[in-house]
Order: sequence, then C-alpha cells, then structure tokens
Amino acid sequence: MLYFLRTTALNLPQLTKAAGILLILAIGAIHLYLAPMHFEAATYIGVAFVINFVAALVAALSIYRGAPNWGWLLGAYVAGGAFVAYLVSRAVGLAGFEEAVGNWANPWGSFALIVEGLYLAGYFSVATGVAVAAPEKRDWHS
Amino acid sequence: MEDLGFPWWLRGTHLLNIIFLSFLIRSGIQILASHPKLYWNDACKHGSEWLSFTTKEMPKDKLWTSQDEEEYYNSVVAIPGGDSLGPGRQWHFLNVIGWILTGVVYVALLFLDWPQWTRLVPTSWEVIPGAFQNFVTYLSFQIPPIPPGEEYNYLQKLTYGAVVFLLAPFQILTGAAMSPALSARYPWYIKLFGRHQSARSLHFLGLVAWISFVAIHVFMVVVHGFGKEMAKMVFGTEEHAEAAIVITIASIVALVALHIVTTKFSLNYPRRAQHALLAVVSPVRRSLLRRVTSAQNYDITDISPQPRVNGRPPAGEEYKRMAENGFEEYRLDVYGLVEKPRSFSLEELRTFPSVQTQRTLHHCIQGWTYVAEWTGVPLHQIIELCEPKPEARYLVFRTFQNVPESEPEPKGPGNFYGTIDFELMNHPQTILAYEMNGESLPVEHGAPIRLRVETQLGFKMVKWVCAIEVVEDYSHIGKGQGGWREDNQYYGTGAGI
Repeated sequence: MLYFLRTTALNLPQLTKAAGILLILAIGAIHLYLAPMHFEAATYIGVAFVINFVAALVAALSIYRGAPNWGWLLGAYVAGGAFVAYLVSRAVGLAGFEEAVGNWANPWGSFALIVEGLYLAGYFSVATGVAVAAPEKRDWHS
Repeated sequence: MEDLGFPWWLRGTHLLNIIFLSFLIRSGIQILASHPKLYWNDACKHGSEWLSFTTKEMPKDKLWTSQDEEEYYNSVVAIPGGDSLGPGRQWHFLNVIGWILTGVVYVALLFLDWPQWTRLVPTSWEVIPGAFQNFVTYLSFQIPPIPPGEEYNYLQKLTYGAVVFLLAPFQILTGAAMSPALSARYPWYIKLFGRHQSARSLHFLGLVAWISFVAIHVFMVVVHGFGKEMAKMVFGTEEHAEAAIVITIASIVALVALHIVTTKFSLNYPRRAQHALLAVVSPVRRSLLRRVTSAQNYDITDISPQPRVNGRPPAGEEYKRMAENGFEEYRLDVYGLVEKPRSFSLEELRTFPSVQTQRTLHHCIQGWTYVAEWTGVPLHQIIELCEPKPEARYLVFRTFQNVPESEPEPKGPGNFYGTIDFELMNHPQTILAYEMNGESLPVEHGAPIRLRVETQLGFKMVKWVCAIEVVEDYSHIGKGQGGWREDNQYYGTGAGI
C-alpha cells in the first residue's frame, strides 16, 4: 500500500477539483435535507446538520477558487465529523438521540457514509500528493 | 416462469473466467510496468501523463531513453514479475485467447440454451426502478428479494449484464485498438476511442472496473451467504453448502498454486516458456494480423514535437567518426542469398529513383507512441536490385549498435539485429528511412538508415542499420530467435500487436 501511494501520481487537477466539489456539496445537501427531522429528534443535531451544510458550501467554494488549500481540509473536517458522528450515534448513542442506537438500516445514512468516505479518500490523495487539484499541476522533469 | 438454475456450462465458463481473468490482470500489470504512464495524447510528451506509477525522474542534463522509465514490479502482482515485458505480453495474449473463446462459448450457450438469456438481458423496464430499489435495500443492510422467475435481483441482473455485454467487449475492443497493425490498416477504428493512447488509458480504466467488480462481487457473495452461493456455482443448486465451501477453498488454493508454478517456470526457464507460449500465441496473431497492410497518412499537424527514443546510439568509434562526417563513408551492404550482392552509399539511397514519404504512428512495445514523417526507399526495391535467390525468406538487419557498449545496463550481449520476412518486406509502407520529419534521420532515431515497417511494433524497426543479410533461416544467427530482443528479452517475432 505504501509502495502504491509512493509511486502513484494522478495529474488530473480539474477532475480532482470537480470531484471534491461535487462530493462535499453532496454531503452538505444530504445533511440539509435530513436537518428538519433531526431538529425534531434533538435540536443540537439539527443545528449541526445545518452547520454541516454551510461548512460544506464554504469548503466547496474554497476548493473551486483553488487557493488556499484549506478548503480541502475544511471539507475533510465536515466529511470526517459527519462520518464519525454517524458511527457514534449508531454504536454508542448521542445525547437526546438514543433511539438511533443500532439503527444501521438507514439508506440515507449508508449513502452518506459512502460519499463521505469517497471525499476523505480524495482529500487523502490530495494531502499525500498522489493527486493534484487545480490550479496546481505536476511539474515533471523532462 | 421456468427456473433457469445454474447449468453446467455456466458454472464451467465461470470457473474458466476466473482463471483467465486472474492471469490477464497480472500480465496486464506486467505490461504496464514497462511504461507505467498513461496519456490522452499520442505524442506522449514527457510530463503530459495523466496517471503514472513510478517515482523515477529523468535527468535533465543527459540523454535518457524509455528503458530508463521502466519499473520492475513484484511477481505477486505481475506475471512473471521483474524485467519481463516479453513473457508478460505472451501470458497476456495466451489468456486473451482463452478468455475470448470462453466468452464466445458462454454467450452462444446463453442464447442457445433457451431462455437462459433472460437471466442477463432485461425484458421489462421494471428492472430500472427495481434496481434502484435494490440499491436502497442494500444501503439498509438488507438482502433484496429475488423477483419470481429470476435468478438474480434486478441490480445484480443489470450489473452482470453490463459486465458481460459492455465491459468485456470494451476491454477486447480497446485492447485491439493498441495493435499497430490494426491502427495502421484501420485508422478510423482507433479514432473510435480518441487515439491510441486514449484506448490504452481506457483499457486501464476497464481493468480498474474489472477489479472493482470482482471485489464487490466477492463481497456480495459473502453477504448473500457464501456456502449457498458457492453451492450454486459448484453444484448448480443451493444444497451441499459445506461441500461447496471446501471445493471453493481447494480451487482457490489450486489457482494460487497454478500462478506460482507458471510464474516460477517463466522466471527459471524463460526460453522454454517463450517457446511454449508462442506456440499458441504466434499462429493466432499471424492468422489475424499478418496480411494487414498499412494505409496510414497522418496530417502534418499530428507530428509529435518530442518523440521518445528507445535504445542508446552506437558508441563505437567507427560510427562516431561516420556521424561526425555526415555519414559520407557509410555503406549499406546487402549480401547473403542474393545473385548480386550490392553496397549502397547514403547518397545512392537518397537519390534512388523511388522516394516514399509517409506520416505514421510509431508504437513502442512498451506502450508509448508518437507520430512522425519518414522519407526513404521502398525496401523491396533495394532487395529486388540484388536479385534474391529462390530459397531466400528472411532479411536480417545488422546494426552499428553493440549493445553492451552503448547501454549502461545492457540486457544482452552482442550487436543489435532484427529480422523480417519477405511478406513484411513487400508491404507498401515498408521503407529504409533516411529522413525524419523532413530532416536527416537524427542519430538517436537511427541515423543514417533505419527500417520502417508500419504494421509492427517499434522494436522490429531496426535503427542504425549497416547491412542486410538475406537468409533462408535465422536459427543460426544470434541465439536463433529472430532478433536481438527475441534472443535476449524473449519477445515474439510477430509484432502486429
């Protein structure tokens, strides 16, 4: 795996950027869509979902603008936070939202996990230098 | 609705498919290792790759060649692993043949064994929303129900159908598009995929799709119930799950053992492996591509700005001296089984009555390409002047390049040479080129004379030619395999793909 990461280099900055924007927007949109029902369950979770959406929008805009690269990092916090919070809510439980414990049979939740996982993989590839995101471009020696 | 079940032919072809695919993936990785870079442009300009699997950086201050870009992958992922492009290609083609034949039998029986085709081909639009509903069910960590009269749920049906009828043909078509013979004869076919390098990139993405499919498929088999699902594939029923698991594990062990044995055989006995593999591959390749002739004429705007080179120029003093004098002393000797041995100066070749110019796509066996314009003399006219004897069958191209002298890491001894037969010699775009892109042939591209056979891979187009020997048989030359690369890198003599 380390060898693969060390040797692999993806030089599609526009595609990488577009994928990052689409994924983080999808994460935000899913949380915005699910926010009303979570407001009913526990207000702070509903608020967290709205914050997720707003932060995802900011991250997408930053990724679109290209620099500085904190957009990707903010997106990683958004995706990673949602990912971890979902697992905690199902495995251990969140205050005021105990009814979710053990409820893994949630299509939206599973779908969100997949999208968040993809974004985190994308962030990992950019952070480790496997992929570059626009406006950066690899400068190969020739 | 009739229960389609899992007939014997379906189970048998499924097993063969696993075997062939496993070898295709490993041999494909072996081939990729020789030029671990992917492009969307045929010029393959250094730095324009969209994906690479190498940490090597080429020097800025001295000549480097495409051999310096090679990676040597471990035998765990590549067959046979290491510096083995020739054997890797032969393993790939052998398994391509087996895999395509298996696919043809599978699809034929799918339609002949009526109505088995309905297991993969949707017969109602209901499949689309049904597949979406199945996807949602999977996301709920539940197993979707199998509709009455079906063997798979709708999502499975669409996925398997897409793999059999879309992904498999896609891999075959993009693989064939990398053939220099096909691209030389049917340039329109290559353009279906953009260009040669687009086809190569798409072929790689197809590999990624295959690996992804296999990973998800195996995971879902486990989720659905490993014993029950394997019993269907082993016995054709859901019964005897324990026995099916044992047989499956034994089969996996046998498959791994087969990979280990064939890999060791290829590494320890490369010559025997070369002969054994080519005994199957060569006749098929010859029958499909041998008679294909080149009809290329790329536009002048297609000419690649910085074409790669493979192989360093001759380092001998005689060659260097000639090069410094513009090859004024150069002589091309034609001898062997000819009535009239001849010796041509470069000036005689340049003023030959027939001059031919062609703009063609050069395909290196490693995978990179470029477009260039070549000017030279039709080879068959040179040979006809020398009046070959009736028993003459091959041309052996001798070169100035002493490989150990010119290469820092030579892959074999002696002077580079190559052979072609009279059929290739007579192809309309087979020439002895003395100009490249309107100027004298550069030293790194084979000055003063190189061979161009536009339906073949680059290694057949010998550079730095000093003589042509006409022979009946090449088994007494070098190590007897028909060329320096065939002798030392275990390539096949056929190079139409």
